[in-house]
Amino acid sequence: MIRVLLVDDDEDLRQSLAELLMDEGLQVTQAVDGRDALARLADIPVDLILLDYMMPEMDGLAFRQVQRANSRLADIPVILLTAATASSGRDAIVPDRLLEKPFRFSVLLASIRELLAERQGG
Amino acid sequence: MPRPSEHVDLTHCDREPIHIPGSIQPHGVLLTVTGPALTVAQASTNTAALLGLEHGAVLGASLERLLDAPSLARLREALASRPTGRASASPIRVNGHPFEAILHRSEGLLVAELEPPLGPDADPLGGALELNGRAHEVLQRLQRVHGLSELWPTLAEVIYEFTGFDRVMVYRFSEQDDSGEVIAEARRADVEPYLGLRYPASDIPQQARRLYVLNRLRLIQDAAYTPAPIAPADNPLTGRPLDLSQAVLRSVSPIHCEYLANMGVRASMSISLLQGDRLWGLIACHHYAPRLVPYRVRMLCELLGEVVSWLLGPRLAAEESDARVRASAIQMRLVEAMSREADLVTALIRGVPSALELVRARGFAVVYEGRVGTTGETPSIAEIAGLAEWLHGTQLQDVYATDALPEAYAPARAFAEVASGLLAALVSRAHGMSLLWFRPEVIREVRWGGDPHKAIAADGERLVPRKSFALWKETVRGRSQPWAPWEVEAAAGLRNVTAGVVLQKAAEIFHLNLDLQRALETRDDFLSIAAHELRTPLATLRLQLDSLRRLSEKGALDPARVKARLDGADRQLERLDALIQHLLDVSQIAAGQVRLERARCDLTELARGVIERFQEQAAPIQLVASGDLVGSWDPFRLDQVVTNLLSNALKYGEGKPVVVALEDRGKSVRCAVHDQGIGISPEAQARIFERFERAVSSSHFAGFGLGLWIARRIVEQHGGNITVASVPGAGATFAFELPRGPIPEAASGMG
Repeated sequence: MIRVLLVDDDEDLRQSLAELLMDEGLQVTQAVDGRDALARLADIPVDLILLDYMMPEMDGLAFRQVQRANSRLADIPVILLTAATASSGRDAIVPDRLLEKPFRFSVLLASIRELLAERQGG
Repeated sequence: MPRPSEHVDLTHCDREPIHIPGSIQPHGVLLTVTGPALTVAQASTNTAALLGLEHGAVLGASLERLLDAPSLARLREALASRPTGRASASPIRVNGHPFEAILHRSEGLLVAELEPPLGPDADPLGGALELNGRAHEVLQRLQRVHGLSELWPTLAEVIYEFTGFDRVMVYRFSEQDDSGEVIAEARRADVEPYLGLRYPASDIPQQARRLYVLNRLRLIQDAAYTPAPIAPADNPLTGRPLDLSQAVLRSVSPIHCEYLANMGVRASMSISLLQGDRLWGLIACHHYAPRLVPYRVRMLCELLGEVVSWLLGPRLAAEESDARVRASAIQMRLVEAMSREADLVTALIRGVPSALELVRARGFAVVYEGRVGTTGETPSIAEIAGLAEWLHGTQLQDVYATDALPEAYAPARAFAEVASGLLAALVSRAHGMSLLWFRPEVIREVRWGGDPHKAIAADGERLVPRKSFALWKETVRGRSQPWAPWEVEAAAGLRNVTAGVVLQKAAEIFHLNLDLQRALETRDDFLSIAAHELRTPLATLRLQLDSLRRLSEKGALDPARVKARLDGADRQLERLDALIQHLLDVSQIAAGQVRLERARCDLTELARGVIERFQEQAAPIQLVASGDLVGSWDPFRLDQVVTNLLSNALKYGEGKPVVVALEDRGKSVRCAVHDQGIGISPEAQARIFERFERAVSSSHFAGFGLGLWIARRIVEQHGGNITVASVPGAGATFAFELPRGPIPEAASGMG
């Protein structure tokens, strides 16, 4: 079973997305921001992180920096889900995939499968 | 074209000591007497011819012996009645011959000039009573004239009638070149008219002009006279030649006599017209035969000259002051127009009145930041631009006036016809602004009384005046009517006020530019933030729809799940609607289009309502209120302010308690929201109330970054102010204070 950590400060989005992912048979853990996400990662193993950029407390970039610096977490693939424009500095996150909000769920699902397939293949 | 006077070397004439000629005109006798016994100290050498007494017999004699008793008494009485100045006594009999004695004092001596009486037919005025009557009538005639232009012909006519001269002219000296122009004339029908003729300045040498200011009337009884010397020549009291400045018989310069003779004139009389201390003009009388005018008639003429001189100053001043008043009224209208109109050029050119009317000009141009606006008759735009550039490059004065522009600025020859005269006010070099008035070329056909360039010629060793006075026309080109001092001042006045308006407009534009640039930058920020905020609910909405699609594809349309998705979608639409409403609100507030709907409003109730909405928050919120907290405010807008401050406090408050404190401050009410969160740096405090500013980086927190700006605008619209105090790391206090405003009687609670 694919274990996904969904990090986003928007509760409505989190709930909708989590339901869809669970319907597809994925296991979803939710976090409200970067700090929350790091706390979850300490407890549970994760195959993939769906990361928002603009969040209070610890934003996507700060989280990504901590994640990459931590050898245990560094290899977890990240898909950035963002509403920020290209000029916002989002590229500094260097995600494995980037989807601009609003995105189609089918596209996200395809990205997840593709990414994990790459990982297993590689 | 050089001026005529520049051709003439006047040094000789100007140096001739005409006040001490040492001789007199021989139609009278001059005696100087001294001491109580009136002993003759000096006498003209023509005593034998007029008095029948040898010169030697007169010198050293006492007037007590030379005059009979009644004459001596008349003389003493005249002297006693006029202790200073000139006196006259008549008849004075010397050796049986009757004379009119004209008496004045000069350097300690009494100067007695004896003129022979005229036969009744030679005196155009007859007796003394008649003279008084005529004087009265003349003064009345002069009083009736309107304006100076009517005065001059009347004056010439009156003097003509009084004196019986063949020609009486009123002669005005030019302020520019001292040349004289005949502006009025009364003459015998058969003599050639001189009206309108000009005479070069050299016709009246400088020291003669000075003498004319002191001695207001001069008579030459016969220009062909042989002078009678005064012997001894020196005043015994001073040892210097006798000063004849005030003497009526003073001999004039032989050059002047020759000048008159060359004109065919035998007798002449001139009366000075003064404007203050300046010799403004003359009344010049010519006769083609010798002519002696009785002293009392001369006195009347002199009096007329003085009356007119006396009128002249106030009249000229009144005419000038009318012009100044008119100019300053126009200046005021122009300033109003400039302040009102966005465009200065339009205000000056199209206004009624336009700047053209400020002075007596035919064309006006304004040059401003490379633009040229014109009205009336002006050079071309390109010519004006070139002229303005030249002015800014060469003129240091703010105002430049010339009646001969082509002389100063060669390119002006091309447009001399419309702009030989230029009055320029240089308003601002920084803005390349100048105001230019143009006067056309007066192709003046100057009609000179003889060729002015040959006014004085060297004839062997001696200077002689010209022989020909035949009409000599000269065409003067590249010149305009000169600018009057009031016109130059009016231009300077308009210049100064325009400079003020230009500076003010420049400052406005500078600030507009800054604001505009800042607005452009913040607009970009705003668009990114707005895009982010709008996309988040859109993303959720799409996910809801995706979910429904998947359910329908699987045929798993469980009504409860479908409803949940549709409710979710609805919520997102509401969020989007609220965001859009928020955006519109911001743009309205930014444009200042929000009207406050004031109502009686209790801040305690309002704050309580806001706090209730935040009850679900983790952090505890405490409300502290005291005193009277009612005012006349817009409750909906104030709710926005309190909501914003409270949500900020909770957002940045790190879950620690938040306090809302309301305070009665008499005429105003204060609301403070304290948190104990991360606080705000001093730099951030300075700009936190600006549009699209947030204390933390834009990537850090979501939101439009407009909340505090909107709060500030609302508070300020209520006439209040909003402040922040913070110690970074120890929390922040946002507080606003509102004047209560007029509270409506009918308490309606929260509107």
